[in-house]
Amino acid sequence: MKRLIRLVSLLYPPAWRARYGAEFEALLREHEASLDTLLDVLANALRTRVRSWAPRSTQGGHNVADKFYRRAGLLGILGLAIMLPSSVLVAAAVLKYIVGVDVLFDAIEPAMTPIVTHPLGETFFVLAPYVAFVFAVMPVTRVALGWRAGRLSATVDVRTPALNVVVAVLSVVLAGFMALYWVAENL
Amino acid sequence: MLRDISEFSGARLGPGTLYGAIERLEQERLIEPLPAEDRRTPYRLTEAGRSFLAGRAEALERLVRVARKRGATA
Repeated sequence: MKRLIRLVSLLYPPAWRARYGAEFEALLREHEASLDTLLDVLANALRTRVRSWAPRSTQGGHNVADKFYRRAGLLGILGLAIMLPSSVLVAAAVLKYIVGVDVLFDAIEPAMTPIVTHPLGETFFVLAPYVAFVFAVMPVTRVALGWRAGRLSATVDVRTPALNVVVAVLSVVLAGFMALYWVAENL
Repeated sequence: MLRDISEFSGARLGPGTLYGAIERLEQERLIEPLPAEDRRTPYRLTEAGRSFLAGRAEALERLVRVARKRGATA
């Protein structure tokens, strides 16, 4: 368990590990290795990593903004790549069954059928738009919850780089089509 | 540090939560690290940290006074 916790602690961003890594590791060595500790380290590592992607007003400057947009762009591209197979399949199905153009669907069907009918492949195709949505929206959204003057305050800061907006919209459209298809098939 | 917090507050913090708090307090310049001792880094309150803590303690004392007073009259 100790080894697993140390492995999970590698999820902290490199800058964080450079600053706190040695002392954190010393603390982990002495601390009881339990499932609670594992979950605590995992949750805080992910929170720190997500925070490191978000824009930080205290840091300011063009370099931080550039880095932020680069990272958001990379995750946007990753989201696009993840939902590409599902998008192609849905687009081909729409072309064949709604528009009446069957060239694309018939061309990809022999290759796609064994993948889509396998449980893992099916799960990937169904989850892809949701994963893509998270990848597109997460790095450009910063949510801050706080307690001010006895009241819970929440602020949401969303930036809108074109690529991430496109990926988010495409993923919603794709998920919508897939949901409609599921409803038509099952109800 | 975790043992100390557990003893005086009864709260059991995990290492991740503790370092999340340390990072925030350091960023807000309320604490500062001292030279490391055998891979452990002790921290101490800064002037701003001391003043912040005094303010919070005063607010809590006020809260406890009001709670006791209202509890006694209820």
